[in-house]
Amino acid sequence: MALALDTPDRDTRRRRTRRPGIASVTLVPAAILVLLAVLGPVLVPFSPIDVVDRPDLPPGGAHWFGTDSAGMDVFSRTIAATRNNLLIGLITTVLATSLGILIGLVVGMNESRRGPVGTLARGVSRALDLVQAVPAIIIGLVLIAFFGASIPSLTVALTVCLLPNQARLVRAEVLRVRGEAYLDAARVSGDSELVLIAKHVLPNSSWPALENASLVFGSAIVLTAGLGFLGVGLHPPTPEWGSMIAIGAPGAASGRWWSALFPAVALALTVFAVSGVGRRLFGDD
Amino acid sequence: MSALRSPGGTGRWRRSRAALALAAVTAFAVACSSSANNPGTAAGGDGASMTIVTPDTGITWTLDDGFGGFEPGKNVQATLLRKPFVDSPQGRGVQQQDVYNYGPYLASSYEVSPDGLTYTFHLSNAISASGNEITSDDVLWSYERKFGTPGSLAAGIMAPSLTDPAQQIKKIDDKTFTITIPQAGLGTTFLALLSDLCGQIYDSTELKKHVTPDDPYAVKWSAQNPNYGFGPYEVTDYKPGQSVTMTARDDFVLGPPKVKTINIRIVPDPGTRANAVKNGDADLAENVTPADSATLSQDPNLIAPQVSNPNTYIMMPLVTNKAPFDNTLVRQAMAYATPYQQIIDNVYRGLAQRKGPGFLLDDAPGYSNAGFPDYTYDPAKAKALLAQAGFPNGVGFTLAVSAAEPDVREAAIQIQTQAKAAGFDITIDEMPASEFAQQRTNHTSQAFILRDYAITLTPPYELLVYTAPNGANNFADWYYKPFQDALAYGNTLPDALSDQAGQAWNSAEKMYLDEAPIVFIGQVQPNVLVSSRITGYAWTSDNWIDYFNFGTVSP
Repeated sequence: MALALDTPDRDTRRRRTRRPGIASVTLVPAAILVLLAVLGPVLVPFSPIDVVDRPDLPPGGAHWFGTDSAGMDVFSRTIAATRNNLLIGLITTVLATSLGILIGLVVGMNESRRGPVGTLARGVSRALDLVQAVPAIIIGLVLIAFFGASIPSLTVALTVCLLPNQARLVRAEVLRVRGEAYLDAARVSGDSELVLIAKHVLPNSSWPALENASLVFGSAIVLTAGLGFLGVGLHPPTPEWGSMIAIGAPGAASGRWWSALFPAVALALTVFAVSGVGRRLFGDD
Repeated sequence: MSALRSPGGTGRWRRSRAALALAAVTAFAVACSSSANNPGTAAGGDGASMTIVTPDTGITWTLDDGFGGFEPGKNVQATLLRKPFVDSPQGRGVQQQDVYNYGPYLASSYEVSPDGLTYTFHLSNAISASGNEITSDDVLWSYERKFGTPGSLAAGIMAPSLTDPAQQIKKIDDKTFTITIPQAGLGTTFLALLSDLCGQIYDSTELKKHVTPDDPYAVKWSAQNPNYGFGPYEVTDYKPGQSVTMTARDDFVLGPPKVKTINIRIVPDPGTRANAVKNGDADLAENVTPADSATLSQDPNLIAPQVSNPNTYIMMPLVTNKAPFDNTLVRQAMAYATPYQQIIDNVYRGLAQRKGPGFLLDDAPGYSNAGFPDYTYDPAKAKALLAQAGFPNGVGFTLAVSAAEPDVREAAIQIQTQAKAAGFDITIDEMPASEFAQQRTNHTSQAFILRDYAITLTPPYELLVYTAPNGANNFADWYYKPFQDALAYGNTLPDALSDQAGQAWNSAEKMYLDEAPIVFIGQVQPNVLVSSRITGYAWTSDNWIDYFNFGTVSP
């Protein structure tokens, strides 16, 4: 099937994206996002955390994206939310991916061993299955209830939720890689297990997790929205796309679409931009 | 090296495309979700049934099972007395309770002894859903159960009128019984309580068949089997968290209900509920947001009911047992830093009103709300009070809000923005409803904002409902002896609705407001949306809808 997907058209596309100019273009949206995150709160026309006009004003000259159900400027909040969302998404992605790779490596390399180390590795593997079987939103609810709602605690909660998938991806890849002949060759040539893992197993088994990082980023933001909807997200009126979508969605059903649509578009574009960065950094191009 | 990698390019591109497609679908769905009106389709269709869409209120069949959504239970039960309905000034078939009159229901009549202490009730020939006729034994056993069941709310609510049913309720014969109250002045509140949820009488003959040594009042059985009441409907289908079907009882004591089948459907999203009525998929939506009510009430096929004196208040208890609200001046400053009219306009879109700073309904006979402090939005005055309290540079506090009440969160945001000018730095702490309820009862946060109401609408009950010492509803944890003395004095007067009593309630409430443990922001109209095909929607003081009052449904 993989071969069937590797069509000449796709090769052509790959070749196109390999061109340096085009490849750099994929980083432009992400660069804009970073700029917005840094400068956004200074550039916005209205305070993103204050009531500035009548509620539910449609998009227009005074308020480009309209106002939300409380009377806050949707454009200012959408821009200002970039920093919070990028922060939550990026830290969660980095933590979940790096910890996931580490755990996946350790478990994958040791779970077929005998003795306490093998038992522990198999236990961790089953524990990852178990954590993944529990709905992420429940884990998030419990952890936030315990640590309180803030960006650090949200990040920890989301990391716990999203880490198992990354670890399992790496573990599966390690199980495949560790049977490769070149590992035996390296062992014969005198490499220690640690060097072997660092030099051969890690580079050859961590790509699925790295490629999946953009999905982790998107999931982190969507989960933040879910937690916000359940009342354990960032304190209102902190601008954050997920909460803005959750709060605006009921109004959308009655025709007041703008307060949910613009943060939804911002979220989608961000995931797309981060996906572009992922392809640039970890893809074939 | 690349040969060792998984063929990720395919997955990556697929994921990117999936993300784009998801975004496009989301954007399209959000933009297009306002569907067209469809006024021609009646939900019932046959003119004898109607559909109600509601959030999951955690249906609870009686007060004996704890607190929850009582509406279906209210319609399978009946009370000893009943507050009659009158037309609302809004017209269009909307009605409201006359909350100071207590007419016959399960009791066909009653008389009061000359000293005002003993009430003699004569029972009607009401038949229960199980087929048994009501007797005095049902009344005695019902109150024994209400007061004997751990977790029942009735005992707390009925005090001080009724505290010991075994001593206070006496059977004269099968159809006659007496209840003796400790003070004549409690009589009005007592009659009001018998007209509300606490006045529900159960079929003891049926319930006694299901008692066990561990469950002497069949509470466990009745939590799953609700058809033991004398009310207008019986439950014919119940799927917890999904739906309830209620069927009219033709042998109901007040006559057969006009709407034969009530279909209750649980729909979590408020926008979807409002749209269901707009599109003709339902006849009545509950817990609709004020924004939806205001928008959709422009549609001639829909009614957002408005009544002259709704008892639901949006209020802000300031917890007096901790700083900064242990200082009366800070509480008064907060009362001047609250943007009342902005909340009514921006959050409730005009579907709320402010008739003064107090909590007592201003139409109670004998009562007047004159002479109270004039709490209006005045940041300069608030700032001066804060400086006088020792906070010249302002003060910060945390305001707890339930995630289940979006309108209240929006009100909190209005307050947060406007109170900055007065020197208040407010952190809004939004939390799940269960945690909010727990914090509210334990007075954990510095302040709360919520929507709530007193079911029993007599001045002494309203004054006590949030101030009872150590009471679960004393959200502000406020105790002020002169206030309690003033309340006790009012209760010594023989008629709670007399002019003399009215002056006593006014004096007590003035202390209540001067001390400002709670900032009462405004009275909120019923948050329901009704199809104009339906007649007989009536606001009740418990804010649970009386299905018996619904008229015929136009096909």
